[in-house]
Amino acid sequence: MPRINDSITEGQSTKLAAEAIRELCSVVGEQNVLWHPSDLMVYECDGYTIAKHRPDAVVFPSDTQQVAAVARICHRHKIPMLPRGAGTSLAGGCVPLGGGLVIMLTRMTRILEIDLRNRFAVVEAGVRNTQLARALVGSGYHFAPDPSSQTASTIGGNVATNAGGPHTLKYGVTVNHVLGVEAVLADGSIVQHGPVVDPGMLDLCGVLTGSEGTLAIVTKIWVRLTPLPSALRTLRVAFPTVEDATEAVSEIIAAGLIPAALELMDRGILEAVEAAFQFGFPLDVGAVLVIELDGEEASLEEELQITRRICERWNAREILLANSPEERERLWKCRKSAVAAVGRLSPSYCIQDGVVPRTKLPQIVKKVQKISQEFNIRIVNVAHAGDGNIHPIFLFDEREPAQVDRVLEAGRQVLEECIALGGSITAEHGVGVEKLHLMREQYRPEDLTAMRRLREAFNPDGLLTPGKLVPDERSLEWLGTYPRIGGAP
Amino acid sequence: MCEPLSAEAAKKSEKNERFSIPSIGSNSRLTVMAQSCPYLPIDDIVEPADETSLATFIAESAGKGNAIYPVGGQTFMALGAPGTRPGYGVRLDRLRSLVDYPAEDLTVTVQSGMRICELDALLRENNQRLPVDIPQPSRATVGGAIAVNWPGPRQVRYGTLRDYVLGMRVVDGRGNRIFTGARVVKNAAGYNLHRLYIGSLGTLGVVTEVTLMVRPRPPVHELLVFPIANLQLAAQAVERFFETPYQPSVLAVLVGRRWRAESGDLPSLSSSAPMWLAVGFEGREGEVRAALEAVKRSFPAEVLREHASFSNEVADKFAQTIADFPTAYQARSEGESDELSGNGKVPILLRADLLPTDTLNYAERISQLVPETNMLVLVGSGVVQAWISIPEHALGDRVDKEFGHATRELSGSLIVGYYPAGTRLSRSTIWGLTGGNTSDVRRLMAHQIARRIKEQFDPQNVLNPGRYIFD
Ligand SMILES: Cc1cc2nc3c(=O)[nH]c(=O)nc-3n(C[C@H](O)[C@H](O)[C@H](O)COP(=O)(O)OP(=O)(O)OC[C@H]3O[C@@H](n4cnc5c(N)ncnc54)[C@H](O)[C@@H]3O)c2cc1C
Repeated sequence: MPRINDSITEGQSTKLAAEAIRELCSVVGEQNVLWHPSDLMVYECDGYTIAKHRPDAVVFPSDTQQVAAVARICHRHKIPMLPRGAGTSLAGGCVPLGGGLVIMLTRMTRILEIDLRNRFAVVEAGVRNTQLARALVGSGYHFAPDPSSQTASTIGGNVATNAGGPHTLKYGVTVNHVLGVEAVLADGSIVQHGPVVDPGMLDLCGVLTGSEGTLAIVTKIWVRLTPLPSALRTLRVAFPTVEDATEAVSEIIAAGLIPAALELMDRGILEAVEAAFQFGFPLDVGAVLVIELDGEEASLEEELQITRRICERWNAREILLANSPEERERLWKCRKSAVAAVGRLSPSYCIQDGVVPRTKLPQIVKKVQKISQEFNIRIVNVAHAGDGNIHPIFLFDEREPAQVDRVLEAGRQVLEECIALGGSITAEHGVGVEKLHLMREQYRPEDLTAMRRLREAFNPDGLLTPGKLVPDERSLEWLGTYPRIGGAP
Repeated sequence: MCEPLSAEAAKKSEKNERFSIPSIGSNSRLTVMAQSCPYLPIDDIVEPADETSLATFIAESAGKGNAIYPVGGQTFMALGAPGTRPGYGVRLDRLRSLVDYPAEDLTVTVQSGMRICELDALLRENNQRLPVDIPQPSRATVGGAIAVNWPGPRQVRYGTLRDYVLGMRVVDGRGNRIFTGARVVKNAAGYNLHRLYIGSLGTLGVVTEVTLMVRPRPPVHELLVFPIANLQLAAQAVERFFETPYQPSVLAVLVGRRWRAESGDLPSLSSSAPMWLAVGFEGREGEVRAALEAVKRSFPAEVLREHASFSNEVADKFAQTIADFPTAYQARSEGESDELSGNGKVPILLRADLLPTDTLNYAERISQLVPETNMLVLVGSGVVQAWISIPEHALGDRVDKEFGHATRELSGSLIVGYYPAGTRLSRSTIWGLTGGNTSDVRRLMAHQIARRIKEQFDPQNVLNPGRYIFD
C-alpha cells in the first residue's frame, strides 16, 4: 500500500485534495481510506457491470459519528459522495457519477437491539439481511423483506432501494417494515425519525426509503419484526405454458387468497437451475410456479385445495408439495439462486426489473418473447408473478459491443412496454444509472421537478450522490458519454 | 351505511350557491358557496369541477396571498391549530369518481372526494376492502382520511393508510400538478413522495386522486369483549396472549363509562365494569376458531369470567365503534353540554404514540392525573387516545407539562386531536412541539428538513396556514 505522504502529495493518484485525504485519514484511520487507483477498481461498478465510473477515494467509517465527520469533510471541500453497502445493486446504484468519495457502510455491522415484545430490531446500516435473520433464528420472528441477494446485501442497501423479494405479495416491501432511521445529511448533521410514530412530523422515513442514497446516508435502522407463520405449504406446480401459469396466478388472487409467494420460472431458467443444482425440475414444461401459502394450520388445508383446483383448471401437469422443511428450503434455494445459475448458460447476463398490473402479465410475457426473437437475444424469465414483477434475464457476451447494444435496446423496449401497460420501469432494483433516462418516460417534467424539490430540501448542495435517481444536467452529461445506456440520441 | 353527500352542505348550497364573487371572478369551473367552518377563517367554500381548475385556483390564491383550506367530510376539523390567514375552503365533492378498479390486481384508483363508505361499497362488490380504520366512514372522504391518517383498533394487524397508498395525484401550493408513485403494488422508480402527504394535514398539497392497495375481505370476523376490573388485568391477559402464535385483528382496552353510551345497542357493555378488553380475529373459520381457543387458554380466569361475543357484520360494526372514538364526541355533543364540559372545563382529546409495552402504564398514569377518563388503549400498536376535561386556563400548561412530560419520559409523542373551537391552545401544544429535550438536535434537524420541504412545495404558505407544524 502506498504511504499517504508519498502518493498524495505527489498528487498523481487522486483528484482529491491531499488536505482532504489527510482529514479523512485522521477520522477513520489511514488503513480505512483507499485512494490508489488499483485499490479503487472494485468500486467502479456494482452488479450492473455495463456501467463503470471510478471514485477518487473510498472510506470505511465504523460508526455514525465517523460517517458524519466524513460528510463534513466532503461538504467543506465540495467533494461528491456516494454511500455504498454490499454493492449488489443491479442498476448501477453504486456507480459514482460525480467521482468523489464512496462511503462504505460495510463496517457498521452491529445488531444493536432486538426487542421481540415490541417487535423491532435496531441495526447498523451494514448489517447483512441474513445476519439479522440468523440472529432471529428460534425467536419466532423475522424481518420480512428477503431479496434474493439477502446473504450479501445490507439492510441499509435494502432501505435505500426499498428492496422487495419473493414474499412481498403478502408482506409488502421494505418501506412497510422500517419504523425508524438515523441518517447523516450531506453537511454532516444527523437526523432521526422514529421509531415511535410522531403525528407532528412528516414521514421522513417513508421518503428516505427507496431514495438510493440521494437524500441522506442511512446509518441505523429500526426494522419491524414480523411473527413467523405457524404453518406453511410450499408447492411446485408445472404448467404447459407460461400463459397457463400467469392465468392461474390471476385466478388464485381473484379467489381471495393472498399466498405468501407466487414465483414464476420459465423453461429457460429451469434449464439453468437444473444444470446447476439437479433439483429434478421437469424440463419439458412451459413454466413452473412456486406457490407458498402460510398462516394458521387450521386454514391452510382449505387454501391448498382451492389452489390445487385452480392450477388443475389451468392444465397443471404436476403439483408437488414440499414434504419437509428441508425440501422447502431447497426449493427456495433454487429459486433464489436461479439468477446466479444463469452464469452457466452464457458468458454475461443482465437481469431486468419491471412491473405491470398483475392481470397484464400474459401480455408482457408475450412481448418479452417477441423482443427476444426480434433482437436475437436469448431471454430467460423469473418473475414475482403475484406482484406483476418480471425479471427477464438477457444472455449475451459483454465482449461483443454489438450484443451489448442489442441487450440495452431490448431492455429499454421491455420497460417501455411496462410503462405502456400501466406499470413501472422498476419494481425493486431501483433506478441507479441504468434507468435514469427512462425516468423521463415514466414521469412528466412536473413530477420530476417535484422529486428534485424533495432532494433540494435534504441535499441542497447536491453533493450527496449527484446525478442519480432523478435525471439532471450532470446525469445527462454523464449519460452522453455512455451512449449505450440511452444518453445519446 | 352511506350518508348522502354531506346533507347539511347540500342544503346550504341550494340556498347560497353563487357563481361569482368578486375575489374569485366568474368561473363556472368553481362552484362557490357561502359556508363558515369552525377553526377556519373562511366565509366560502369552493368546489372545483376538476383538477385543472383546482390547480389554477391554488396558483391564483398563492399570487393574491389568500389561504386555502382543503376540507373533506369535516370529521376532524378540530385536529390542528386554527387557520391563521383568511382564505377559502376547498372541498372536492365534485371529484369523487371511481377512476379504475382492476379488482384482480388488488388495486383501486379513486378521486379523493369520494366518501369512505362509497369506496367500501365499491370494494364490497368484489368481496374486497381497505382494512384500515377510518372514523365516520359515512362522512369522511378518502382525501381527508389520508390527510389525517388516524390510527384505530385494527392497526395492530393491518397498519395504517401509509401501508396501502401506492400512488397519488396532488396539487401543491404552487398550483403544480404532481403525480407520484404508480398504480402497481410495487414500484421503485423515484421517491415515495406520496408518503409526505399522508398525515400532513393537507399542508403540502391537495390530494386529488389516490391509488390504494386493497385486500380480500376475510370470511369470518369474531370479536370478544371482556369486562375487566383494572388495567393490570388487561396487561396480564395481553402478555399471556402474546405468547401464542395468533395475530389479533383488534386488540384494545376501552376505558371509562362513555363506552357504554357509544356502544349503543350492543349488549356487552351494559355491565358496570370500569373498562373492557376487546380482542378480535379475522380469517378463515378454522384459524379464527383456533385463535379463540388460544384466548380461552391464555387469558387469566378473572378476565374469562364474563364476555360478550360478536360475529361478522356485528363485529365489524363494533370495531367501527371503537375506531369512531376520536370523533364520536364531536358528532354527538356539538353544542350540548355533557359530562366533559361545564364548570369552566373544556373537553380535549389527547393522542399519545408509544412503544406497545408502555401503553397500559401510560394509561394508568393518565387515569391518575385525571380520574374518570375515557380512553382507547391500542395495546398492540402503541397508541393511547384519551378524552379528558380540564379548566381552560390550565389547559396548555397541563398538556405540555404533565401529559407531555409523561409521554416524553417514555420517548413517545403527544398531540391534541380535539379541542372546542375558540379554546386557547397553541400550535406547539397541539402538535407536541414544545418542551421536549431542546438539546435533541436530531429531532430539531428533522423539523428543519420538514420546514425546507414545506418551503419547496408551498413557498407562499397557501395550504392550511397555521394548522400543522409549520408557522
Ligand atoms: C443475485 C441478486 C439477486 C437480487 N435479488 C433482489 C431481490 O429479490 N429483490 C430486490 O429488491 N433486489 C434484489 N437484488 C438487488 C440488490 O441486492 C438490492 O437492491 C439490495 O437492496 C442492495 O443492497 P446493497 O447493500 O448491496 O446496496 P448497494 O448495492 O451497495 O447500494 C444500492 C443503492 O443504495 C445506496 N445505499 C446503500 N447503502 C446505503 C445507505 N446506508 N444509505 C444510503 N444509501 C445507501 C447506494 O448508494 C446505491 O444507490 C438482487 C441482486 C443480486 C445481485
